Amino acid sequence: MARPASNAKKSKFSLEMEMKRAAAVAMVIITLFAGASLAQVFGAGVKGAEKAKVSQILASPEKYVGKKVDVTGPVVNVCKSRGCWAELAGDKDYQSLRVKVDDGVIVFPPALLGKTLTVEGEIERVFIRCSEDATGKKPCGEEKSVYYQIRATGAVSE
Amino acid sequence: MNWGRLNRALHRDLGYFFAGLTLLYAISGIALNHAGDFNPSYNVEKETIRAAVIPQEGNEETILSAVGAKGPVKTVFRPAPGKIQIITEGENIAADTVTGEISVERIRERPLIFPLNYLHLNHPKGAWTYAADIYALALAFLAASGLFLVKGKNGLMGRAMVLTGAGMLLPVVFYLIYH
Repeated sequence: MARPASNAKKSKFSLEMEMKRAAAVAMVIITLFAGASLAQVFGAGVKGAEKAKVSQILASPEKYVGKKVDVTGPVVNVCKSRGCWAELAGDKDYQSLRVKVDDGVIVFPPALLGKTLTVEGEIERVFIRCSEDATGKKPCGEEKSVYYQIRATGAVSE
Repeated sequence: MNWGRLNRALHRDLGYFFAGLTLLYAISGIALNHAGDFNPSYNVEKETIRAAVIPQEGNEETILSAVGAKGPVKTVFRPAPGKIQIITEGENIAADTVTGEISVERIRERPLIFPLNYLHLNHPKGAWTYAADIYALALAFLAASGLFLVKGKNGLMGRAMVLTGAGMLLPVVFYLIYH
């Protein structure tokens, strides 16, 4: 008669152990998934280049042209049709930096809006040669203005 | 081994297996083909309202209540003097504190078509790239094996040759005309 009681005790104990083990596994899985949902990696990710603020880049952009940097800021605009560019707000008011990616290589989804994004890439100078009359039919070789953007090879959102 | 029977069986079974992927690529292909006319992946709703008064400072609450924004604020950005952008969970709000004009953008993934486009454009990358490669190879096999399904006047030396040739000529003609 003592045997079944002992067996029952044993099976209860092993059930408890199993439940604890399952809970531990579930916790690990949940932690992994939570971690995955917190950070999203785009392209080659961020490997760690010189950190630069948007205000620093815009204050002396020529110093940064061709230089690989990591820039962090909240995403305030994205290309909604193809996800081929995003815009990071600067650390100072009225400043932002355009993040350009090669079409299809990295795609920024609209869900990134408002999230903090760290981008790695080279700062590049872009000449605007035509403005409103850019129909492609008129030749317009004259440089009208210039802006600076980061050509991203990778990014990580928080 | 009866090659004809094997070809027919493979054509049939691969055709069944890849029917779903063919529909996926066909449906999203039509949507993506017209990306210039509409946003194939997202539904972007835009609304503009005019608020009576927007204070120059501490105006976030005024703007949020004017548009009835529900989600928590993710980011506040001032792109230019007198302009403020508030991004909430689900809304992208841009306000002009001088004119009182507030524009709200609500971006939603299009049901059904968003996942299809997501896969068609290979956004998942990784293993999906190889799955799509296998599908492309299977399509090539289906095209080639289809030529040998029927014998006689409707087979490779008859109707099949004429129609397949015409089908292959089609992209060539378009290329020559438009390139």
